[in-house]
Amino acid sequence: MAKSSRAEAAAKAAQMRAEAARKDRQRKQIIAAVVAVVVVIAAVVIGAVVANRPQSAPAAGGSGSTSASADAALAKLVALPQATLDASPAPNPNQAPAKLEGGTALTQDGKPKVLYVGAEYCPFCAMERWPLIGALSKFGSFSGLKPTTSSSDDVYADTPTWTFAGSSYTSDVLAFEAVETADREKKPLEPLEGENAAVFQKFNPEGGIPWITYGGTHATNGATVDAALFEGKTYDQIIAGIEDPTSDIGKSVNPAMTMMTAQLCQLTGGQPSNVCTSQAVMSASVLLKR
Amino acid sequence: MASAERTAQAVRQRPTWLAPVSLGLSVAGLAVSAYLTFEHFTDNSTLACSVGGVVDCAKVTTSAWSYVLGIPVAVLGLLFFVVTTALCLPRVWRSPAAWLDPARLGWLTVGLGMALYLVWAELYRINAICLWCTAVHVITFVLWMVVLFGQILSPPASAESSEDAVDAA
Repeated sequence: MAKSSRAEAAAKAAQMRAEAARKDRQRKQIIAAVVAVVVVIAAVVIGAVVANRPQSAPAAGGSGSTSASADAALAKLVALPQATLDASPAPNPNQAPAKLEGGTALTQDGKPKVLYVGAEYCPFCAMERWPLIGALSKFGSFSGLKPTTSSSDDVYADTPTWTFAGSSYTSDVLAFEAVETADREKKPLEPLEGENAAVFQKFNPEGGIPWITYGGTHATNGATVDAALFEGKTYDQIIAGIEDPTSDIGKSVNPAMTMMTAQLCQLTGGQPSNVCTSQAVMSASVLLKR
Repeated sequence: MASAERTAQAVRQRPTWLAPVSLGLSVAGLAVSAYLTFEHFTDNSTLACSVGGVVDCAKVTTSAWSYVLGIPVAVLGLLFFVVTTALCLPRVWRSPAAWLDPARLGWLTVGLGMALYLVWAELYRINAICLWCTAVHVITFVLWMVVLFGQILSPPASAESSEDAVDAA
């Protein structure tokens, strides 16, 4: 009897020791888990704080060397040889402007009008201005285009480009009007109003930009170039890509430029003929939506 | 001699909140992941920003960061929560199989690591936050904490009779 009592007491003592050891182990595990949770939270908070530190604005046309690069790139863009576009791949159907059902002719000073609606912060507008400037330069000339970059805190940050705000376009065969609705900091810049606002709201109720209408009968919504190709690129790199029809940029931007040119040729009735009868434009015109 | 045979059946006792909370979070994560997957495959992916309102050009683009090894991140998230939901079912929590606890915690730690990587990509590469993605990241983090502490606070597995087994969940 005494032996079984001693055995029971020993078993109970062992059980209590095991339970105490388990509780001690559990306490240590809880402490380790709390430390792990705190480390994760701290990492995310510190990461978010560092990411949101104010950064010095990059050369939005401010630094001398970037401004020189922008000017050099623009000079090459507006004078891009037709042979370069003829040697580039053909556009794909997605790059062709959509027909606006119920669209009526948009004119200005007796000429068919191209309306661009965008914003300076918008990275896709930044990209789309490259082929648009190149295409429009075949029908007239720009002045006052200022270098800038898209927003620093959005996708494809700081995409090099030019702003249409404050610029002018002259042509014998086309009218071009651009409305940059906001600046790089997303503050209101130029008002979208009157006939421009009416056509934009009618055919683009979701308000996507860049939105370009060709004569009020056709339009593109968004960038028609491959956005990823512009990431991290400089003016020099982008124009070098455009000048090389075999480069990735050349294979995307040049067909977009050709498609725009073909659409503009439809507006101008094939003028100027040297542009509108070029090999690339003639090929692209089969994609025009009639 | 009609004593009923009692079968001993090993079950894990768990804190009462563990199974419903973890399952609820898993299902929530599954629902949001399903929505993100649906949006990934049906969004017209127009490369456009929006005029006015909340500006988030990332909403309408598919960046390179939305793929891992060629697989959409949204699909990976959906698969993650399908497995997580299975691991957090009440009957699985009751199972005494020794490998389940480390497997479950390991799986959720991998998910947490992936969520942290995606948060880094949002903050430092894409420079934009996707609200639905953030919801999934938060659910993953909370689920990881729930499972971590739930497993620590669970008593060790013990054998009980099937008639007396108490479902701690």
